[in-house]
Amino acid sequence: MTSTASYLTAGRGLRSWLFTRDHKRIGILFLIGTSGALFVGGVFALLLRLELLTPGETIMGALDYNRLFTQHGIVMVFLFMVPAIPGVFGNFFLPIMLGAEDVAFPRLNLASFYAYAIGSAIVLAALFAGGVDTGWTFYTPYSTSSLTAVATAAFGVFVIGLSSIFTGINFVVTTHTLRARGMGWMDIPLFVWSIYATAIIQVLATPVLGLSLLLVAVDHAWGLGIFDPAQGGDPILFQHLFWFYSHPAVYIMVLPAMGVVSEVVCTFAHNRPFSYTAIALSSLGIAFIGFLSWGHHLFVSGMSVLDAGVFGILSMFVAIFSAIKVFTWTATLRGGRITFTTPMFYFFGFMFLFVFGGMTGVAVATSSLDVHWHDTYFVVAHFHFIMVGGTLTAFLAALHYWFPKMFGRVYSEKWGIIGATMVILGFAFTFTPQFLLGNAGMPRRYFSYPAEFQWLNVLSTAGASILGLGMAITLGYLVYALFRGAPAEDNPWRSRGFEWRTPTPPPLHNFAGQPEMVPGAYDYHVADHHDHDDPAS
Amino acid sequence: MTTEPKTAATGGVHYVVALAVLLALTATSFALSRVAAGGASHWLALAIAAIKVMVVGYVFMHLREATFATRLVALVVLLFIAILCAGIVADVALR
Amino acid sequence: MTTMTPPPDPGEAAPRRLEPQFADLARQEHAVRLGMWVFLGSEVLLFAGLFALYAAYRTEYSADFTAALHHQNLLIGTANTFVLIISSFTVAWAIHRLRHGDRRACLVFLAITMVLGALFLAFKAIEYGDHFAHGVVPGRGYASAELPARGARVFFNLYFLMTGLHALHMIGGLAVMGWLVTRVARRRATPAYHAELEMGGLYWHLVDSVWIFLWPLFYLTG
Repeated sequence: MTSTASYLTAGRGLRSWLFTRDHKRIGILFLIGTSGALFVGGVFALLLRLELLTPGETIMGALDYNRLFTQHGIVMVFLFMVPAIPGVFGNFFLPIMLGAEDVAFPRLNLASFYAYAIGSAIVLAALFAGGVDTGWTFYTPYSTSSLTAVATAAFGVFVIGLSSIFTGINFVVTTHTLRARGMGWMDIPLFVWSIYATAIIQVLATPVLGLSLLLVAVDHAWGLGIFDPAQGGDPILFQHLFWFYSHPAVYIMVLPAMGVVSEVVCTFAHNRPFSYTAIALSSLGIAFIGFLSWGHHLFVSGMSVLDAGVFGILSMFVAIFSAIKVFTWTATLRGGRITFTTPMFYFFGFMFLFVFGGMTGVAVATSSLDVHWHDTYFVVAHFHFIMVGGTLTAFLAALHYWFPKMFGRVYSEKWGIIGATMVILGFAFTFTPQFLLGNAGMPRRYFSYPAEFQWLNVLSTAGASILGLGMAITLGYLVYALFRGAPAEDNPWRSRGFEWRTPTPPPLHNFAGQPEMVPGAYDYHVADHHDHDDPAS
Repeated sequence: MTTEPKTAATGGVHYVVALAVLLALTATSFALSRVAAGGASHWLALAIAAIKVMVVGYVFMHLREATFATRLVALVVLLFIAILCAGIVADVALR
Repeated sequence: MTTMTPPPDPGEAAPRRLEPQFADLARQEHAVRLGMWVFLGSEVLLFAGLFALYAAYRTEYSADFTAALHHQNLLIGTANTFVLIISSFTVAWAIHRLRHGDRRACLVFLAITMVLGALFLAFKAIEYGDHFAHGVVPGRGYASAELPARGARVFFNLYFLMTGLHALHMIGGLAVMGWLVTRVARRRATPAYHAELEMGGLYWHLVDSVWIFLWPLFYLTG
């Protein structure tokens, strides 16, 4: 093989994929895995919405419903959202954006994929071995006494956690040691900044989740009673450990999304970010403050009132850093030449959902208000707006934005915009009624509800159907484009990003020869010979 | 070692000194636990442990010849342990 | 008996170990070391969760914890502390000797480290056996006549969890040491490039550091 052969054709056959050390191929493996998880979790979600179409039993009873919402949560959080953007696009583009040939530890990177695959298989096996009915949060003491396959599922999530740690180590070290010659910290693309901040959280928080799940599994097996009040344990301590990971995990999901959004807005506004420094450093700010706010999940669990107040205030600081980003993205549009493409549609969807979800987040961080909303559909709607509305829209934005580079094919822009519109509107339709339901007092995690809540539930299920259809359409035209799409140019969006300066699809070692890093990744104000074919210049 | 600093070539006296310090601190900690009583001695023992770990890190784990990034990792980890323990203990103590 | 001259390494051995993504061996070694530190940071936070639980439960059951501490085998605990500290020195010394080309001394000190590690585990096994004989076991079977309090049970649950997890890390460390011995013996790890030895050493020191904190928490009475 020659050094200029595309990574897709350098090496053929299944073995060359399963034992690859190429970060791009590992990214594609993660794409297959996480997309499969998204599909499974999405089917679960539609079944849940179908059950909630009418009060009382519609298609399943209470026990099946408990298992199904648990599996929906576990699959979506641990199999899709946490690994999706870092695993797929982080793997594929972080080294290219740094001008590196690969990540620092390619074998560890492959091990990361296999830890993900094996962990996912264990989690899905738990589903068939009776399921899990504790909710994805595995709260004690119920989780240590539930007769369902809690220990198996917890172990599976533990193994996926290893994958997350391996990926995090790789990204931190790659960013530190493999930047192209002359590339300083303030020259690296914004996507890399956010993936770097994410990697720090992955490395520092995931072991604590691993520990708390391990304790649940050990407790389940040997009756340690470490969190069982009947045996002197304190269940709130489990919640502390669990949320020490799982709150920052929200930023594991949304920081990479913010990185994608930063790239997309600069490319399609053809403009420099309003403030590179503000976006880059607020990522680190979010990563840090994210570790100081876990207590807001425990407001009604019986935690100290003073602690609750402190955690509430610290949680609101997240909104400051998030707002810095939102205003900077908006200001980036000003004076730009905006192109309305599918990724840009997802950008606007992201902005709406993220701001709305973030504002309600400040509301529920107020401990007195949280007493009213806790464990209602208000909270469900809030975190779906942030986590799914943020992560899923950014995942789809990234998939469309980088699709030509990754596969060397062009998808249909017309169908792309139809799909994006359906996904965003369907999503808003699904969860806006749930804010109203929660505020009216409908508790989460019940298969039934009083009849007066039905009209809002019907609206929500209708929205979920539109969302599901939009996702199906998206899957359809992307798979079509994968095989039948027209060949893509090297730089179809006229972006200044480093990843667009390499052939499409990239060669095995990312660049043919020495990567060219001047002008910078956002220097739209500087004339460049790459723009010679730009019709607007 | 391709980037071997000059200090490591001097015969490694610092390793022996570190060992002596660690053994002395351990003996001190042991003696204090036999003699002293009350809540303060517990904190004293933890403080001595912290000093010992710093010696291990600085000398044995080569932080003395490490890059800024590596030292930063060590500091950040300590910070997050403090956050985790403080957040949890504050709740239990103030409940 | 020791020949102090560094064994003349085949010149191409070191460059062959350069991974293509790195410009040179120095950069690669920096990356490996940084990666190891990040991994160790991750490991430390695994233990940190247990330390946080210990702190919380000690706040809740202060008297029970003190009573349980008085029943611990201070002699074995302290002996093990000395054993691990000396083993940390021997592994550091082994690396120091290899840096100066003394492969033989390196092997000797790695072997001493392994013996000390095994000694630690043997002491730990004796201690566990003693606990079991007195009805002090983790989980449901706990039946200590002298320490029936709930807090004491919580104390021993944490004791078994934390020292058990630490012992598992010790076993892992011993396996790493055994592997390193073969690397050095087969001249795969050379005075010029022995990143794996440095990394194995870091891991061993980390496990030692965890024990340095476990000792006052589970043996020294306040």
